[in-house]
Amino acid sequence: MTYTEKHILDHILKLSKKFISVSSTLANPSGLQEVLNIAKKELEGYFAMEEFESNGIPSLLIHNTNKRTKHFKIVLNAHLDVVPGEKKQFKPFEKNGRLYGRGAYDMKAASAVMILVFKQLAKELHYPIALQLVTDEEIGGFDGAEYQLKKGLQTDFVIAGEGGSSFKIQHQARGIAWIKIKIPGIAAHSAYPWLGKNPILQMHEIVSAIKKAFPVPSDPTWKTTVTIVNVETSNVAFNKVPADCSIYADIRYVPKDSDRILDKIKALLPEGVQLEVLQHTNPAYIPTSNKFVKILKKNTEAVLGREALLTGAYASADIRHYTNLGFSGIEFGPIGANHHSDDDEWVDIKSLEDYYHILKNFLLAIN
Amino acid sequence: MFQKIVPLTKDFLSIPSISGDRKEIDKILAIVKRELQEFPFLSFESNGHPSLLYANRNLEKKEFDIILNAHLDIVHGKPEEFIPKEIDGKLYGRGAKDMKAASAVMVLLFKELAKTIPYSLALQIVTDEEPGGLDGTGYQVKQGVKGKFAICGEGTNLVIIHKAKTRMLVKLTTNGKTAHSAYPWKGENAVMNMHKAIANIFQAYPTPQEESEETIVTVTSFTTENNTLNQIPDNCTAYLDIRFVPDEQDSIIPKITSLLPENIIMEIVFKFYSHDTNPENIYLQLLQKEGEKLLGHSLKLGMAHGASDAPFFTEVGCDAIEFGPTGNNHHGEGEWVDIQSLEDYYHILKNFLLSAQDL
Repeated sequence: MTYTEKHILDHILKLSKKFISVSSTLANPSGLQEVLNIAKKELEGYFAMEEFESNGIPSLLIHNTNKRTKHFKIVLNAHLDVVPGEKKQFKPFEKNGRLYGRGAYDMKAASAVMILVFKQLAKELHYPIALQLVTDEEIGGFDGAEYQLKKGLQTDFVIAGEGGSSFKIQHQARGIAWIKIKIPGIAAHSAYPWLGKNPILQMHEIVSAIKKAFPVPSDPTWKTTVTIVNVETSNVAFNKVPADCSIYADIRYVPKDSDRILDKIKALLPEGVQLEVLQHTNPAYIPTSNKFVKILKKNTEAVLGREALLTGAYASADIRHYTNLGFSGIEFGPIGANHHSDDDEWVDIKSLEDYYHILKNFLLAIN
Repeated sequence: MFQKIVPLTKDFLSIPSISGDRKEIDKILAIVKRELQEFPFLSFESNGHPSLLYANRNLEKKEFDIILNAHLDIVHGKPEEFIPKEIDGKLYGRGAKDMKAASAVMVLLFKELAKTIPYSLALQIVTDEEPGGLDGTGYQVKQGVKGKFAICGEGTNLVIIHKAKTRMLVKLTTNGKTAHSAYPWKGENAVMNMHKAIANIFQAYPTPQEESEETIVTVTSFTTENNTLNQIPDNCTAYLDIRFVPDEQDSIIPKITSLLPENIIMEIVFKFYSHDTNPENIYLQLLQKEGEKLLGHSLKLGMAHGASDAPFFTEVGCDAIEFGPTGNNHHGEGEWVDIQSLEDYYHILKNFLLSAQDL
């Protein structure tokens, strides 16, 4: 459209930095709108743009068709929200070929690439393509990607430019089950514990059993993990045997455990203890034989000059909302590190240029 | 006077006077003030916990011969537990045994006898016994209140409790490293750190299944501040309620410390002084004699499993006992006090207070 390929990296960096400078976190709702406005300004006037809002979370769907189609061949999914960071992390800077800042890797730079690829190509493509910009992926994506899908969005294939993939094509993601284990007890004065039944004792045994059945891996492992995220009791007196205790656990399970994971947990629980599933998301799995996956793999290898790996994603991103409905999708983004950590999130600058070309070639190849 | 005890107890039982609930606590103290309006008293307050001190003479001097100690705070209860009920000679309600009925007896006995007995008698009304007593009895004692002998009216089933397991509250904290819980290998789960520590505690101090004269450790709370479901908690706190036997006064802290891994921080929230009053104490023996006279059988001495406010007195050299009526289910559901035992309690205390002038 307006700029040349030669300067594409400058554009990507400029737009990425604009995004990083906005603290678009859950705690700062005006930042969510502000970051979307930057994207909007970049694309305004060229394309049909649909605005959404759910529970105060804004999102956009930009596409290359004139009619109000709901079914796209390809959706590029980008989230512009970030996890919280220190003030200085919202001042992007370049150093030794890396762009630093909160969201550099997850996924503001990738978002900038997707926006610019879309801007450059969308009009030339002969199929319906949409760019989805959301602002709530980090808190679950229910009011962004999932909301748009509820409103009728459909696609043959979606690519999320998620942080964490570093050019690996993540075609499967673990399922999530957030569970609450409710342990009843019998309250008593703590000087007379034999008159009661301390649920904290049973909690202790259950945690031991979970730990034994699902040891915490010390390295990244494609296995089901169970993390105890909270233990609580409603007891507020320090001299009372509690009447109840609850364990909250975050379960991430690999696709092959789909049918048995909850039964496995239940089998660890003594009688009288209840299991409540607070939220459940199926694992995502796209066969490696999927034609879009194959085309993406081929184009990635052509640009990088090396093999592109197909792997699983440990965490679930917005893709799960698509795969839950039967739409195919993968996570695929540039190289970087330290997203979700306290400091030094970065994205590799050269990889942004590669990412641009891979996406571009992929979209053209589908034409 | 006895017929007034049950109605006053019911007035007390109707008020959910949980320690720290200032509105309800003030309400229940107002009842006492109305009942004892003819007597001088001092008001104390520490950390928001009010308490009262009545005496049968002016209150400039804070040392007395005998102190009656009553607490009007209770542990939490369900709304229906604040509707007192009489069934089959039992009076039901949260605090019936622990110790609103005994408080009613003490208030009414003080009212009845204070003007006639020649020695100095004080009545102490406190409102924080359940959370530890530091701001009620503990505070008054710090301000100089003491006696030769103190009776805490805890529900003891008419047994004279002259010694008790000592209460200690320990706070354990540990820090970990947070991370997204999809990547457990990136974090260090503080809950699992605490889990390890607690395993050692449970092993060294298994929870007794029946009444035990041994030291007891109860984990009464286990929490983390983490309130998201997808983050590894980086902090965890547990509270240990410890009841140790009097001869472990010096060894208990080193023992607990030795059970804790290095990443656990231990804080002694409080450790009470031991309650261990000599059975030869003349007041104790007089009370025992009066009790046996009235009941027609021997009055037992015993060790309490639970702590009371008694150690605040023994710490300053004032001998103290716990002595109160018969009941059950204090701190559990369906708490009750036996009405006949209340009448016995009233007469035993009355006879004791009257004959104490000859000591």
